[in-house]
Amino acid sequence: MSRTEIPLIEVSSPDPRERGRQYGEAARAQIELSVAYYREGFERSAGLPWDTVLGQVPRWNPLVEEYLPGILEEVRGIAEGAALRTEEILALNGRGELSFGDPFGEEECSSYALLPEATGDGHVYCGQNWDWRADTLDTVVMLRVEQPPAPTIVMQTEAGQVGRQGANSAGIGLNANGLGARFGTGLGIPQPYVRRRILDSPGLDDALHAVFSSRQSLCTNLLITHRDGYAIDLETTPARHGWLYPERGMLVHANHFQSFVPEQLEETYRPFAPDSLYRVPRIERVLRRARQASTSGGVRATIAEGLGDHFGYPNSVCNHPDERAHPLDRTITVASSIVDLTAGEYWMAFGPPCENDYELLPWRLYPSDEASEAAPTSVASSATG
Amino acid sequence: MPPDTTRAARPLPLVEISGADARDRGRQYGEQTRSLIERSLAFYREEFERKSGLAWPDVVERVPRWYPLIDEYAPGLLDEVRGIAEGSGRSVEEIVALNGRGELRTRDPFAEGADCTSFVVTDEAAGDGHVWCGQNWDWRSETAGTAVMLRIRQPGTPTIVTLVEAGQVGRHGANSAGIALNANGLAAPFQNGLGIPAPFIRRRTLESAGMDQALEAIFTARQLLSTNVLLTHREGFAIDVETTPGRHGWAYPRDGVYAHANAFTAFVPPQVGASYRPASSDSLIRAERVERTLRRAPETSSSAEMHALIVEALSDHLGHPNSVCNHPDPRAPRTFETLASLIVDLTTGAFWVAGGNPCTTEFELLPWNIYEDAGELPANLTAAGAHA
Repeated sequence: MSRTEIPLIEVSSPDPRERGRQYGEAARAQIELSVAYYREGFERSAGLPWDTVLGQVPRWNPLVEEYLPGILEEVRGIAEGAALRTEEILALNGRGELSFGDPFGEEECSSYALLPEATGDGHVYCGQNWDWRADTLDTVVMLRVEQPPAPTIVMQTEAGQVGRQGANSAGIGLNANGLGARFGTGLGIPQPYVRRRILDSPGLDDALHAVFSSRQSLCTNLLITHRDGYAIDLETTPARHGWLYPERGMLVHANHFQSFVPEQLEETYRPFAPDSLYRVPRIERVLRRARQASTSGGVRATIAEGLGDHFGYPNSVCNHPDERAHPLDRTITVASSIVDLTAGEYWMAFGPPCENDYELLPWRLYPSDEASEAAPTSVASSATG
Repeated sequence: MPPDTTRAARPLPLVEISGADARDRGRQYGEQTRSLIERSLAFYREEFERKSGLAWPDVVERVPRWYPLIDEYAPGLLDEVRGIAEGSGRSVEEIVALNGRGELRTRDPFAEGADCTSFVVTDEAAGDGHVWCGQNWDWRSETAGTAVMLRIRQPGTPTIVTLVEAGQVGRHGANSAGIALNANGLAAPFQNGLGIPAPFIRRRTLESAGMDQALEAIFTARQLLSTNVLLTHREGFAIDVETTPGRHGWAYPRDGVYAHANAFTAFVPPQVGASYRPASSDSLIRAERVERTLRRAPETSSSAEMHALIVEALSDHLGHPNSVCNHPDPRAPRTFETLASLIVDLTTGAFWVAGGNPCTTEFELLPWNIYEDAGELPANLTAAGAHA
């Protein structure tokens, strides 16, 4: 099957407005598609006219500005570059939060982290299947953000969004999964800003601080991995967060609470996507074998096998549209990632991994003159072994 | 315990129904089980009145309140129930009452536990590399002789083999898509109001072509009772779900082995968090004992040895008479016993049943392999099998 064409977009400037303009110009067609999709989606599912949405979104601005200074300038730049209204870009970045009443359901994703003790090549890996509406496949872009002095970011995102899933030049990887549950009231910072701030982080301390200082309105799972052989999974809610660590160097997370059940939900909680309950053990079952792979290629092949699993098809790890669902509600794995945080390599399959090969992006996470230093000292010996 | 060579055969009646028309399937079922349904009704009529204070006319008058719930959850299934009523010469309400017998017995503060012990051994642990599951079904002694093995063949839907009390649409069993369901009561009702009776939930689960549909059936059900549901798939996946009217809890096999009886073990629902005690304290013996025996599964070297090990586990007598192999307790006013014991090899599709205590009853291989009709499997499931 032919590969889905995904635009690779590079933006580079210390000036956020300028970065936004570059992004908006380069992704104009995809952003327009995305606006059209959500415009229709909000109307159909929530009965929210687009004008009403656009009238509400500026209410987030003070929260966002305080949480991540400068990012709104980037949003304005995106609007300029794409020749759209700033409010429309704000809406794209708040599409999850806008969907109270659940007009879009949730993203069903499966994420993983592998630490050196779990991989035959001694590298640190992270990544995920990103499962989302089949109709949004054409709005996915790969974005590289060079923003001195902050770390350079490589990420997959819906066109117009400032953050989703990715990794940065400081060796931090971020993967995310919807948790479905909603409680709490009031405005919260939309996820793309939280995720961007994590990916802007030069250190793990900053990344965790970004997670624990955000005021949000929905529940999301965030898996943060560091190239020095550390990973933590954070089940974030508008109130308390739960967390867990890899066991025997492996952590897999999908769309249900695994570390705790928030008190607000404890009497009634049921996972919004019950298939999440088998996606986790199915991936674990395969990834356990990554230890036996003797090369990085072998580790990647094992990961690809795990992410291509069809148990419970079509609601499987490798997700395919369910013919029984409403056409606008059908989901598919729009992108699948394997990030080698040790080597700085970013591998992507666009579309379901069972029929799309993983390709190495032309972007290295770490500058090439640093390549020899990229492997942290703590795993250097096993990496060269 | 050493293998007992003196086990006697106590076969359960085999009932086959088939066809696309639900009403017609129901008629076939009702005609074949007429006398058993009559016997079952005689027992439950009295039982409901004793347990919940509901006189039979009240039961009959009220069960139709369930119909909209059932229709929405499992469209078409009530037609099968109507057919059962026609075939057995009873009223529709009576057959629905048989399916709601758990729910209709719930208001008694002196409720005895319904005892069952379920198990799974996946390919990770089984010495023969197969996936095994099954259970002891312990229930009121008076209902002995009302259970049947039912095979349901519906075009476009996986074929089901299930143990039921005559008249019920589903209970414990397996289907041609390689999905098995074993269940155990959890007592602890903590909610009033209408809920979908368990047989309808189990039937919809057993109609699933994939684990996604099976879990969907379990997680979308609005029920009154708390029930443990152990789901096993022939590809070596198993999950135990402790279902309640509110939140569900879940657990997975540890090193390929899992057993569950009648106590919450994955979590304790917050609604009973301050006061929860298992309805049957012997449950704490039974699950542990079965797991302990089944932990030896990796040491077996053939399917025959695996089968023998499972029979040993299900025949365990620690805590007799309230043991895994459950016998009537002479001290109790109303007695329970293991009325049937099931062993399923999900890898080969072989299904064994003992129609009484496993310590003295022979496990007989059913003449139906659950995969006989596997040709009806959707293509995608066959493709998924390649990943096993």
